[in-house]
Amino acid sequence: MLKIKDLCKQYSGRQALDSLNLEIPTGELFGFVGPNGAGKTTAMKIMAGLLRADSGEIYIDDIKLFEDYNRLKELIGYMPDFFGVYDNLKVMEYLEFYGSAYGIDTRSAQKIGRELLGMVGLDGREDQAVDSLSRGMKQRLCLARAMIHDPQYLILDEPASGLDPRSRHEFKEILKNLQALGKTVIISSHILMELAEICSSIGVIEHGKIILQGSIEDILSAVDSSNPLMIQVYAHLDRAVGILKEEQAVSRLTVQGSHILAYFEGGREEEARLLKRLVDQGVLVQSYGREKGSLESLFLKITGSEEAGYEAESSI
Amino acid sequence: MKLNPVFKNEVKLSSRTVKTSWMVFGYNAALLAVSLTVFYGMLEWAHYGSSVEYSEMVQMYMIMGYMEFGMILLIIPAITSGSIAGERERQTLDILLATKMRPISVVMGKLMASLSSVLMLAVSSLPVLSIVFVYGGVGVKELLAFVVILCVSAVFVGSIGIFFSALCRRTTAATVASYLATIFLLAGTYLAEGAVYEARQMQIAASGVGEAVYASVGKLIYLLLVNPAVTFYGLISAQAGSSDAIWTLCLSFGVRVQEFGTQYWVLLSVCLQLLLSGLLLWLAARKIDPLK
Repeated sequence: MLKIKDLCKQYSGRQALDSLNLEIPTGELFGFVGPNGAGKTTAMKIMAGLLRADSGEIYIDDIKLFEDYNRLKELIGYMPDFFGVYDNLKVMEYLEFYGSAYGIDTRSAQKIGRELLGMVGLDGREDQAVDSLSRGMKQRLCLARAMIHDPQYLILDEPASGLDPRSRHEFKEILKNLQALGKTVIISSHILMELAEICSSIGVIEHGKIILQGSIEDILSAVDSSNPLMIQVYAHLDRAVGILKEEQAVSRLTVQGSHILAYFEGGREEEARLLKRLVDQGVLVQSYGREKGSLESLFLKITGSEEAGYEAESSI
Repeated sequence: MKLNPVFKNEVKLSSRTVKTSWMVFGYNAALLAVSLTVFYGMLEWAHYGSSVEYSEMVQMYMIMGYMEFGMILLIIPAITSGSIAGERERQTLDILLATKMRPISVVMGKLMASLSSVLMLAVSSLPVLSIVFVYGGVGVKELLAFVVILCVSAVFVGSIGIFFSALCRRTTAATVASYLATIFLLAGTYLAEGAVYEARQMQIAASGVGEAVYASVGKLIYLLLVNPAVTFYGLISAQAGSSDAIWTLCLSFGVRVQEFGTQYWVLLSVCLQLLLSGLLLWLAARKIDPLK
């Protein structure tokens, strides 16, 4: 379990992280979502030991990481949102170099490197120059590099940015395989729907604070429950509208053809009771349920900024 | 023995660029052109005098020495100023610092790589330098001392380059700053001594005390201890038999340095320059340390 407690960071008077609290269970594929400048990269850099937090602590299984940066670097593999490659190196040499930076000898680094290249789909490219690789391949090589010391936690900052759909799909598959191997992967992205597809849970960050965290299902059902009821009536529309107007939990009604949009405050049980009342009074209900929510709409709703609108748009 | 990963990587990368081959070629070509010109000039002169003077061979060694020293001081800032800034531009610095490597190891790896370039140049120039051995005059001991001073100067100037490379975000800015700092060390310190000496002379002349009082730069003379050119001059002059070269230099600024001072000038300045190098490298490591 990775636990972030009251993490604070200030840059020249601006609060980048404001008592950030987060708990990520082992083996999770965790999505870190937030608009630009929300504090995602700052939090990830602190987790990777590349920034010192003003206050707060990160625990991995009750080990205080800020007291032992060497341990932190052993446990965490970091992949920033840029490639950072040496063009004159060959693929295997690149991995050997970073292996040696973790104290791994050349022979072992080669052995691990070959396994990792196989895992990221770059087997057979050991002797290829890094600069001759495509963008997607470089990204996968960087992922292999981040895993050269077999870290338990992987922190990937915007790994899918700039990749074509095919490379993005391949990358997603690799991440799922990593999760299957028991690695905890923390991944940030602006492409919210992609996070929904691959992540088991997400955390929404804004102004340096986690404002929502949970499993994708829980979050989507939370979004659903705040969405209006969509009722399609086959017959007796007027009767249905009358019943809904009498209902105190309904704050607003919109009627369009045979469709009624009712802003209803209540849980699943209240929803069911309302349906029973409609049916009991002879309204022929064709369909009934909450409007389906999405991460995009959630993101826009809770961040509510122009930036969020841009992020959502860019992900389509 | 485990090699510093950054050093190993740097050596690997530099060996693959054609720039390195051109550097070795240019360095030796320039050295060879000058030494052959001087050597044949000397032989021509020997035709008239029917003998080759020992002092002329030493003089040739000095010319070649100064040339090697000058070229290395010209090359080192160019190599080192891009060391850290280049990693930053390539966006590899953060990745490197996210590994278990400590910032000081990264900085030391960069210095060792630049030092290896100097050693490569010095070793590659040995065949050219061996011309001075043809008629004798310079021994292996002198040559070893020459290489040591060359390396110390390279470490000192290289540390300056690495310091500015860590300080500046761009390689261009770091290169300009490194060359300016090197020029200040080589010429600036000397000119500063001269300016102070002239000012004091004018002060004395204006006060009308008379000729009995001599102008002197006083303790400021020790500023020259950080000048690698003065250190090199001290060594090579001593090797050529002029052991009072430093004393004469100090006297030109009105300072009569005690014999003890001049005798150990080279050693003192080597120690001081190495100390300053250590300080600059520590500052560079601190600058790139993300946790500081």
